[in-house]
Amino acid sequence: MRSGTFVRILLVTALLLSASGVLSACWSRHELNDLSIVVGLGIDKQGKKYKVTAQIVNPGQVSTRQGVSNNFSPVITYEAIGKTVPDALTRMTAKAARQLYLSHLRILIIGEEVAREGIGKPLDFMARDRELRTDFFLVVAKGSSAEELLNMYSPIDPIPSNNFYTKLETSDRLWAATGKITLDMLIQELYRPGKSPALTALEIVGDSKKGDSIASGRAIDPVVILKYNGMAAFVYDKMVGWMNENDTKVLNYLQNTIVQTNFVINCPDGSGEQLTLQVVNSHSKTSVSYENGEPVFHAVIRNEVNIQDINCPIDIMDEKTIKSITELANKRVEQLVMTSVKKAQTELKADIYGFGEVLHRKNPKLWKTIPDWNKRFATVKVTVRGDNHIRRIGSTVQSIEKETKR
Amino acid sequence: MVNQSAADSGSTLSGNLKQDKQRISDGLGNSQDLFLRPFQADLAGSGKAEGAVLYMEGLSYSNNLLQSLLASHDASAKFTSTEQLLAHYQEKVIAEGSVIQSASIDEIFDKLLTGHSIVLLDGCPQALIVGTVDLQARPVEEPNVQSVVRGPREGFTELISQNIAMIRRKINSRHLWMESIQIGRITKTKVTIAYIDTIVNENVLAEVRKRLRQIDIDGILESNYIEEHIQDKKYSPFPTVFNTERPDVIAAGLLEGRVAILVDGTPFVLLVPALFTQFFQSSEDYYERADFSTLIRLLRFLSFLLATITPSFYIAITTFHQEMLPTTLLYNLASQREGVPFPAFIEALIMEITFEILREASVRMPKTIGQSISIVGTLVVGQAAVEAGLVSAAMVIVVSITAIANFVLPAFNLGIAARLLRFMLMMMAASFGLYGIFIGILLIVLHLCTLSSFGVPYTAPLAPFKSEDQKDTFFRFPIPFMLKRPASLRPQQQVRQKRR
Repeated sequence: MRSGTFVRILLVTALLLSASGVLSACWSRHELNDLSIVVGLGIDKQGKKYKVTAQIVNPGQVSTRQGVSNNFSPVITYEAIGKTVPDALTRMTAKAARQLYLSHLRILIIGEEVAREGIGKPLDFMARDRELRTDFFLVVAKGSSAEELLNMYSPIDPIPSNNFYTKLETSDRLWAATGKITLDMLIQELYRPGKSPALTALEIVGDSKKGDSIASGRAIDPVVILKYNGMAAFVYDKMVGWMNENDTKVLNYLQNTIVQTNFVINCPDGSGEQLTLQVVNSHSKTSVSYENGEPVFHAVIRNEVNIQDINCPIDIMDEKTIKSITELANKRVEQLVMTSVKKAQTELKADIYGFGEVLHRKNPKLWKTIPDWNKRFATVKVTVRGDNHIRRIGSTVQSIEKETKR
Repeated sequence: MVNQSAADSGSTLSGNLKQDKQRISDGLGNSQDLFLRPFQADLAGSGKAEGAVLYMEGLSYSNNLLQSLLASHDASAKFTSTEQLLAHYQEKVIAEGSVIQSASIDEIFDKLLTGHSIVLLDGCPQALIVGTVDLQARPVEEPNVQSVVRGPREGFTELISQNIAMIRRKINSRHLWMESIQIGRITKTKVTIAYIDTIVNENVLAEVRKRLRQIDIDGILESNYIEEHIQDKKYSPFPTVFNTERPDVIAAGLLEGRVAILVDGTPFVLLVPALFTQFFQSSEDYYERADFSTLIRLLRFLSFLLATITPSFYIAITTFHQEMLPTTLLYNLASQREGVPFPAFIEALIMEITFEILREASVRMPKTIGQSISIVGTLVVGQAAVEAGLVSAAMVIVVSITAIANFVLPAFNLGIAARLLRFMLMMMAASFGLYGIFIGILLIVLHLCTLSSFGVPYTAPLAPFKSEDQKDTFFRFPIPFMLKRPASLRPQQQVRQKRR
């Protein structure tokens, strides 16, 4: 009798458990073919409302599987207008075939108008939504709307957003004249006192009228190409101006985010020919001292460089030549940094390089007495010292120029 | 054990040859395979002694017995009574190794049915039981399962005496002790416990004896009958009794202090106590280099994990956690799933069940058509199902990986556990995603912790942790470093070898 009750309890429990398995059915479950994978998102302004563009992958056209027709585009864009970003995205469901899936977002393009008005409001959704990862890149559209950028076809990689993503990653690593900023980094920078954020700019090169068709991919010389060009400087969440490629490089130098880059200097023999140095390891340090209570910043940029090419007949085996190249390189770096810092002080009036943060860390008492750092930054004194070390001169000893002149 | 034959009226011979012959024949239901060979012997004076040799056809080899009995005809005249003649036969005539006198009908039946010959003489209430058992056995062959690249090629056969001899040949010690009992009210199957007296843990041995003694069943046809009776938990997908066809594995187990249980009629010998990690060890681990064996052993643990969780992991990732996939892989998987009508769980279930059917078919079907079934299986079910849009290509890969990983396990019965748990985890994954898988794994681990094998915790030497045993758990240290026997088994003598 007792064992009978036990068995009954066991059976009922098993039944309930199995029911819970079956009845859970649709609870946060979605099959892969129920999803529209959003890879790119663009936010523009349309009057007072937001115009959101979503680039969605058509998986059948992307994968390597055979037997699919090649006449369809690998991606599709939908746009919708809403009072807020999530509002627009919800309205988009009336157009999109399947549920929008934002986890695999690669790139978020912010229209210039939105950027100038402030990115805080549209980004709140991005940071709040649980579906979104924070590892996509944010860029600002330069010279065109975000929607236009997302409608451009990209050669080689059939998914434009993916193309943007890899392009930015590669150029950031090898050239350092672009900056890859992800959402979590941007949010941190927005909260960091004494450091203004900056986002990479993306612009269209070529004929944007023709570039939105897949036929444009048939040309060997691409009809249109999207190119990263400098960065957009922000004060808090509002964009204040554009930074060129040198400014971006300086930002990378001062932020210690250089993996690899190069720069060109004049030959030490005064011939006017050039010599290229490749930076393989860079480390910078900013310190602060005080002159009459005014903070003065000293940045030291220590580079390990390789000689990439020499276009003049100098004797590279001579130690003096190496020394003079080093000095010229130091000067070049100092000049590069000073130009960009001046520009930030006078034109942008934004401390994108984070000097204020150094002061905040070193001297919080003084920092608290400064009401508006960006205003104060405009008049602050900055010194820079380049400290280059030539490590390798390459596999050819003397330059071809010198050998042929013999 | 009390033996009862229905035809018996008394339990001893009467001494009347005709009556006794009739009783034995009746007791066997006049079965045609009982052979009766009558003979006559002259007694002192003019007396004649009627006699008969009884044996079962096919079980006995009685030629030698009959020859020697008939050849002794001349010498029989010295004796005055059949009792004396019988004693003479026992001492001087019969050349077979085992000759005993008995009057018990029960014993006569027992012996007769195991291949002994019975010599009866008229007027004598005693019978001679002669060991003429015909040991016809399958020749020793290489085991089909648990085969090795390097190592002994012999495998056990169905004949218990041959199996015992094979173990004896490997362990030439007087401390290798054997205890035989009969189990099975009707089959009277011979079951032998083997152990090394100086190493074995007394408690384990006592427990084995006790559990074997408690078995009361009509018949034992395979060692699994014993296994299911003596295992610690009746309901568990995990085996707590190890079985093998290989004499070297049994010898190694005995040397570690385990107890072997041999059952007549099956080449599969049981070994207890069995621990979870033991099922990942192959005898070949010790016949190949230590570094390589370690690698392979780790691979087996990985394979077990793969065989258990791959399909459920795939279901969880593709239906709940798409954000965890690398973006490019997501495009590919999504494109493969275009047009697949079923949810991933159903898809996986279709493929898994198809595979299990194929696998079962390939075991049962005649060997000659095995080839064609495997071609049909791989081509039709794999490729065609993908092309027909029933399943996605990735699912075929998942199921194949699972299947192949399952075959890496050296112990077939642990593979069964992986197969069963796979379906449970798939259901958990389909309902709750990764969360479900982790709950499932947690339950499995908890279950493993509750198991024990003849008093030894199943998860030893991991929990309880024995540091010395770690030399032969995940890793396989070089043999000169393995100085002690597994501490988890608590052998009488710990030291296996002295440090050089």
